Amino acid sequence: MNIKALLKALRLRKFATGLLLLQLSLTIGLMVNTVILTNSAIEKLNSPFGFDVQQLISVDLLPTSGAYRDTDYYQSIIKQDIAKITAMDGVISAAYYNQLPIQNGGWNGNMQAADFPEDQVLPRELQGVPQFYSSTIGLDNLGVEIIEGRALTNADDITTDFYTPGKRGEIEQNIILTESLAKAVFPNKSAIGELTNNGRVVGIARDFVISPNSKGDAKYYAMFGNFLYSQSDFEQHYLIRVEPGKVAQVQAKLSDTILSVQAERDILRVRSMDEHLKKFYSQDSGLASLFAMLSLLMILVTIVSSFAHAHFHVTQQRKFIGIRRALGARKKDIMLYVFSENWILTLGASLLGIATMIGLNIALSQVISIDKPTVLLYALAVFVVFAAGTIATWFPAYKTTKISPVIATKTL
Amino acid sequence: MEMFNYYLKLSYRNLIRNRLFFILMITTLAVGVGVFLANIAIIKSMSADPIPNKSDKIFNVSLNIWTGNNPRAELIEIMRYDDAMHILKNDIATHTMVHYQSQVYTRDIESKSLTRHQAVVRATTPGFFPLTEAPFAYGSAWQQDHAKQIVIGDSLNQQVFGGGNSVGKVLEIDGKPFEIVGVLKPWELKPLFYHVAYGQKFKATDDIYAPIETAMDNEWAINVRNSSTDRINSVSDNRGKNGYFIQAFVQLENQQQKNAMQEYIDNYSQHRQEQGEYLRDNDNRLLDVKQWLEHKEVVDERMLAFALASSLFLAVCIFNASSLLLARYHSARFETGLRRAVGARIKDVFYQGVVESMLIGLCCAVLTLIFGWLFLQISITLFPALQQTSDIDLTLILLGIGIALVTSFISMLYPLIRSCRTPLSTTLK
Amino acid sequence: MLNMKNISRIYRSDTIQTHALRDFNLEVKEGEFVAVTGPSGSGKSTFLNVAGLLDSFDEGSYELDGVNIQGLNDDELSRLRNEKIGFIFQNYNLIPDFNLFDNIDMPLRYRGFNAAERKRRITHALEQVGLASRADYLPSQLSGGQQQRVAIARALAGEPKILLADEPTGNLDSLMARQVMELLHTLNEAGSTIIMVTHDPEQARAVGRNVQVIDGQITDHSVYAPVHDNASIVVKG
Repeated sequence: MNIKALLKALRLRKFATGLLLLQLSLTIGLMVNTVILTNSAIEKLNSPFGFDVQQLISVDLLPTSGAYRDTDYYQSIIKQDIAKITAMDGVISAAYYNQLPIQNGGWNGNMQAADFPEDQVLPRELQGVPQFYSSTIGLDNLGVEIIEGRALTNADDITTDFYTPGKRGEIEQNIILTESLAKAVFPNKSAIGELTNNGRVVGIARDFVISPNSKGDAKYYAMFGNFLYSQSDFEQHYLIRVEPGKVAQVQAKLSDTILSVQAERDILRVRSMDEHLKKFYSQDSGLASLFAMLSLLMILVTIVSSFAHAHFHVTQQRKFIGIRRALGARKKDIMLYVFSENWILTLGASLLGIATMIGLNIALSQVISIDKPTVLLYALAVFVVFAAGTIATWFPAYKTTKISPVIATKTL
Repeated sequence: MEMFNYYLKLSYRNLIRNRLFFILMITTLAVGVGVFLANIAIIKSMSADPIPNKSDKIFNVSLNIWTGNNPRAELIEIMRYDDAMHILKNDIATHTMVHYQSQVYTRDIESKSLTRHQAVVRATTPGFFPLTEAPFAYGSAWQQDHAKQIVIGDSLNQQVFGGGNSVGKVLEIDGKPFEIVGVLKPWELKPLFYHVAYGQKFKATDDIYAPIETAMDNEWAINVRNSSTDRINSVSDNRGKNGYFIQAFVQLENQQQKNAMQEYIDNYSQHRQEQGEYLRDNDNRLLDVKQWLEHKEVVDERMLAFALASSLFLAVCIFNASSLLLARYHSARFETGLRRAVGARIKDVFYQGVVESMLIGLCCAVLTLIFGWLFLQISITLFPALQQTSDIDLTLILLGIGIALVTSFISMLYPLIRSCRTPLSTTLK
Repeated sequence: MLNMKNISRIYRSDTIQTHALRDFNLEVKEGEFVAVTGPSGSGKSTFLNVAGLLDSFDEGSYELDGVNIQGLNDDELSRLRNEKIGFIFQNYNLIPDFNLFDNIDMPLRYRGFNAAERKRRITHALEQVGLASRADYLPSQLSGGQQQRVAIARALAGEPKILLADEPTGNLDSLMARQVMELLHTLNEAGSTIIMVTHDPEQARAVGRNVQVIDGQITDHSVYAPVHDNASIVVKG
């Protein structure tokens, strides 16, 4: 194989070669970044959440009648709902929540030790700690264990005091913190028994993912209290823990069960935790899909142009190929000649591709968060371009074997 | 003109003769332009001016009145009830409105059915209507601050009353009656500039417009952002307390008016500071609609990221088309040489190339529109949030055709120059 | 008609200069039929390219039909080629997917004739070469001799001052070659000026004037008496 001759032939068509090089290198760059985006979307969905995603169904609902402004009435309906849901076939347990894990925004507040100095600024991640209110089984229902101290009891329920005029200001509730939060608020000692601005810590729960978009340990920060929030303007949430494999069966009957207790409610959503997660990440996975589509199209364009490049090369060189054949080149020598031109191009493009890959990654990181490229992904993209180019070159290369050596003797 | 027809005929013949070649070339180019166009369609409607005739006269008012303890935090657009009332209390602006968003369930009080309809409420002041140019079909705004009167949007009017003049009819909300005093025509506002924060930017316009005092009296919940530094027991309890939930907009016709308003709000925060409130170093801010939308980053960053990628892809498609055409022209050198030998000027050869690129461009344009539509549908499927923001209008179609023509011409340019430059004596041997 | 004085054409590469033509002098009068012969590499082709305004020259002067070529721009050269010169190539150079009509039509388009005038000229040119009935044939449906006659028709349709033929019979068998030569003679007798490059000494001898090029220079001017009488030539289609 005469590499020098090949390079010379490519240099003679420098514009076309240059275009193809640019094109292939951009394809590599885009492909790598696509895979990065897709990977991180998949990773987010598949990373462990620390609670029983597979067995949970969530219901979001709003009362539609003014009668629910009476909190006693509202609470009695909620309790009836929970009792009726718990009695359903396949349901292990059910509880009400003021909000659900895996969300943006929500019910958040400062979390600090009661003796936190007034002139100090609270770290940003402790300024918006999610506050969860549920019944005694709230954490258990999620599948999250208490690792220190105790769980919440009926005696910790502040609902009655909260809705008794005048008493709201005097409440000092008992709360549970997640492990990471407890460490952040009380860095040098056990949090059990300590007083915070939100109440006294009686237990610490194992970490689980609550705010996936927060950075570092802040995604595990949460506080739990025993309280039935019953203001009819805001969405009420039920989480139902079902026996393995019964999600669909229970999910189908939930709306009717709830409405049979009292019909004046708007059931906004009934979905499995799985669906909830997919929905939460739909923007990420949507973007990844768009990029994936683009990469696929780019590979198609690569195939088209590799094909055309080789095809025109072969057409142009018909006579010389004929002469080569006449001088004793075998069919496979000629095929190899056509292929190696494509391979040299791919090689050049893969070098240029490093620059486009990094450049595009930097450009993308200006607008969205994206991980850095890795050598493995780069190698993968080069391989795909190599394979696509080779496949596309196959047909024109095959056609060269049909060129008869007789052509050589037909002078101009 | 005769030459034009001749070239058109030649180009057509050429396209038919090299069918496979041109199908590949035009399709790849059209895919590239199509993806690009779909992306532009999305970004264009995201960055549309919702109220073009006076977007430079409507200003968001962001006050430096947050009493939180973080000095680094950014200025936020929500304010307290008292701040909002102070802004309403001046005649500097042509129109002033403050609002918060709520949601209720409602039904026709006369109706036998107990079914209630979910309705998004804009708790606001009468200035809302002239400021946003909300189009009234019937009736008008309320006159009294605490009136149990409301204006309803067209879609709620259709849902509850089946349309028509519903002024004088009564809606029941939480068991209480509210009289309808105005009905709006169908009204589209994209983006919803008066409430672009917190995921509301591409929502439809509201169902119920109610006096802000009435909404608070009736404890209609603040259902988007509500922050407080005091313990606040109910919606009406916000009066006089540090609960932040109201947004304010003013219409200012000229620089004098704007200066006066700036001075007015600066005096206000200074006054609050003198009264002992802890304020950060931020400035009070008046941003017009365009600046405001930009500040709130209405254009989805994901779409910008994709725009970057799709323009690279377009470049790839142009490179591809160009290198294909180069090969094409290379093989057509003989014919070009012959034409030159029998007396065609370089101009003639170039003209012929331009006609051909226009024909290619037109084929490409047709395909582009098809692909563009297709990719838009795909984008919407992948991003349901885009549903509201993807309009195909005439300008977009023209834009698509324009881009297709231009890219075809660009792809053709270098190959054409090359073919014009080929020395004559070598090609005919 | 054609007057070349001291023409030089030098091809330069990085290291070598090649004089394809040097001090080349030739005058061709209206109505002459000149055969140019010479071994390969002698400069015949360069001469024809320069004469046909396809290639430029480095020194000397060239006057075609009273027009001094020196200093003309590409547009003016194109115009001259179109109006004054008719080319006949060895390999015909017909456009394979144009029918005969469209092939002959091509140069006329650049002249700016209207449709009626073009049609008249094309029909007349096809009649002259005896292919009038095949205007909508494609070149591939014709024999080599017929194709060359189409090429001649294309050259004639513009009513050029001078016909430049480059080995017009080089790709033809002897029978067809004879027919083409007869056609050229007939045209010459009807008044056309023809310059023909050929390597066939017999063909060369058969024409009015014979010029030999060696090493880029004219070495020999021999004039033969025409061997043909004026008997009418029947061209078979």
